[in-house]
Amino acid sequence: MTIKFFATLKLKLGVASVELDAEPQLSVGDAIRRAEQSTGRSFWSEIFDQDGKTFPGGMVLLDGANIAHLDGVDTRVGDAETISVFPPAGGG
Amino acid sequence: MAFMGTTLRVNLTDGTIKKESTPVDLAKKYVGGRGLATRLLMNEIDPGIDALSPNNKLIFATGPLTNTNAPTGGRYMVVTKGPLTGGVASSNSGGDWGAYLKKAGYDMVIVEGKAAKPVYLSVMEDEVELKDAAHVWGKRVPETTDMLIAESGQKKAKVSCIGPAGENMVLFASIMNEKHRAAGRTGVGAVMGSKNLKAIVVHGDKKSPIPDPDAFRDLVKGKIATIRGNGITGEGLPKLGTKVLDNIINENGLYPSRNFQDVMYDGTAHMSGEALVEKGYLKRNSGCYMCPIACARNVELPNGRKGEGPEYETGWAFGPLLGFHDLNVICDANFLCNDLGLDTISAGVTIACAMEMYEKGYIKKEELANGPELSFGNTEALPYYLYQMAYREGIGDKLAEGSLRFATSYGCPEFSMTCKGQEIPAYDPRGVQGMGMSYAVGNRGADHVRSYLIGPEILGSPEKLDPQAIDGKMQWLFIFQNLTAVIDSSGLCLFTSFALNADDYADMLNAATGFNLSTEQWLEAGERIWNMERNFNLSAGITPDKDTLPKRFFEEPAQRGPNKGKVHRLPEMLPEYYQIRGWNADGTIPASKLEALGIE
Ligand code: SF4
Repeated sequence: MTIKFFATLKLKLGVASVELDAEPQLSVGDAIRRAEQSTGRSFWSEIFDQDGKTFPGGMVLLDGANIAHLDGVDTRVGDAETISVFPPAGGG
Repeated sequence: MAFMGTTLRVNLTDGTIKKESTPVDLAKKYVGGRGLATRLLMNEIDPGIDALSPNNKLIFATGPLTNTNAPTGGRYMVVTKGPLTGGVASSNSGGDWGAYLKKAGYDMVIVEGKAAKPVYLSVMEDEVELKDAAHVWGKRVPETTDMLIAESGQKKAKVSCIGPAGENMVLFASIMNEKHRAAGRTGVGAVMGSKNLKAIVVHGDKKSPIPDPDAFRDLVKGKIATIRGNGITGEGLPKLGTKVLDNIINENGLYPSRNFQDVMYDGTAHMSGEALVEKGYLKRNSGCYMCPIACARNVELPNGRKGEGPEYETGWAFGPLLGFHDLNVICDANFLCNDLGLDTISAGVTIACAMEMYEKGYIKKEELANGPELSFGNTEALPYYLYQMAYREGIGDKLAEGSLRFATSYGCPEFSMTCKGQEIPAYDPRGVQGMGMSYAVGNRGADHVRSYLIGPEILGSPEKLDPQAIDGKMQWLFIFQNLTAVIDSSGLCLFTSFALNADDYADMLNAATGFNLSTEQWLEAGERIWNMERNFNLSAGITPDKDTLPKRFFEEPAQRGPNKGKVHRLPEMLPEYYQIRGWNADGTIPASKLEALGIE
């Protein structure tokens, strides 16, 4: 599966995405930890608070669905193809 | 108490200029800016008049926090009866102009009548004069601004003016200040043009009288720290501007393309806020008066052209909505609209409507008179028809009436993506139920900045709501509409509300005015303003059956992405909204409600 980075996170990491081997039982949180390893940069604390909830304006989407309305970072990736990670951002 | 105490009344028909006391006693009920100006408009005009007739009035109004050091304290509103919807029009702008109107000593300018020939108003503190504008009539915004600043003899003078689009009464013409800041929506520029008023030039160095300046400064410091410490206002907006939303909204499956025929756009990565940085086009960010956020983009293109923008809405309206993603074309079209004084959202959505009609055979090739094909993806069409619109040339004369009148004239109003005649912004209602309702019941027609439910529904600010859920949404809409009316009327920028809450605004308003109202009382003022605007619209003949969306959003489900198969569920939410507002089931306002809110 593909983990895509956006906004300031993309600019900081300097890469748009990384590929991971798909494992349906993997949680979204674990997938993001693996993405940290493969980019060599930790960014967890820019997206999630201490309880693993995304900061206001930040979001993680599993095939477009916000994990806030699923099981949060514990959501299983299943057969999803993409995780999109956004640090806090907003506009109008 | 933060008001300068004086309002200018300028009658263009007979050339008289009066200095009147600002009705500050009304500020407890209507705050200032948007609220107070709408109150005066209600008192002074018949809502049924023709918006472009001399009987209409055009009010430039600041709020109590304008020209203070409150974060973003520089904004003003232009309030009038609008030509696009026929209802209340009010449009907010940043930059410095609002603060400088107060520095010159005035809270508001009420413009009446119509000048026999083009004029501009010069407001240099006590010296206020109408001057001949023959030499700037026909000129674009940047040239007009430079010439009038030079003429004023004050390098720091600020100019709010119309471009050719306003002069030609394009129904969605904007009023521009500091060249790049726009009171963009609802066609306020057309009203200014109808009055033969080219510009208002302001200058001065007066301070707003704050009851306890030291206490105010301390209070404001805390609010600025909150804004700086917030992820959205402290990092996201300064770094990437509102254009950070391109990918967010696309990935969430509500980024309209090809006149809302699709809910996603595949080329988004090429024109996104990130791309603007990566391609090296973004040179720096900048901000309006006293703004700690600084969301404005200063861009230089490979062709050497420089300017401000694009922000999220414009980038979308001049790109994905029309089926292309060339950032050079998008930025150039943005610069062109700023120069001509055109609202970018209505201009883009009107061209998108024409493209769908052309592709479906409603517009014949001969009508284009050798102009570029009006086809999605044709980048040449954009600047060509923008220019034609502004000068009302060729088919541009019809496009200048906005998409609803345009499509209706061909017998196919269903291709116009509008509510109450104003074009829909860049969030597809099928992907976001609350925001869709916000468009449908908006007092200025389709509108994203009068109740920005994208905050909770997509961005999770202040908390995350499911965009497809409908339970409880109408209560959120009610609160957002009321709070936004307070923020707009106070003289601050709506973007502060990503970090600040209702108590923060109440604190600053109380400290600036000395009123000592509770947060609930300020929010009630917001509710009063909302009802007053609605009441104006009802009196103007905008019946509640106009509280709806184009039928596309009910009949054509989203074809892909996370909202695949979804339509908008307005019929399930509208009765609840009326009920929460305390209105009759038919959407009219009972006299008892107006009375309870103290609206005479
Ligand atoms: S946040 Fe942006 S639009 Fe608002 S006042 Fe600041 S620079 Fe202007």
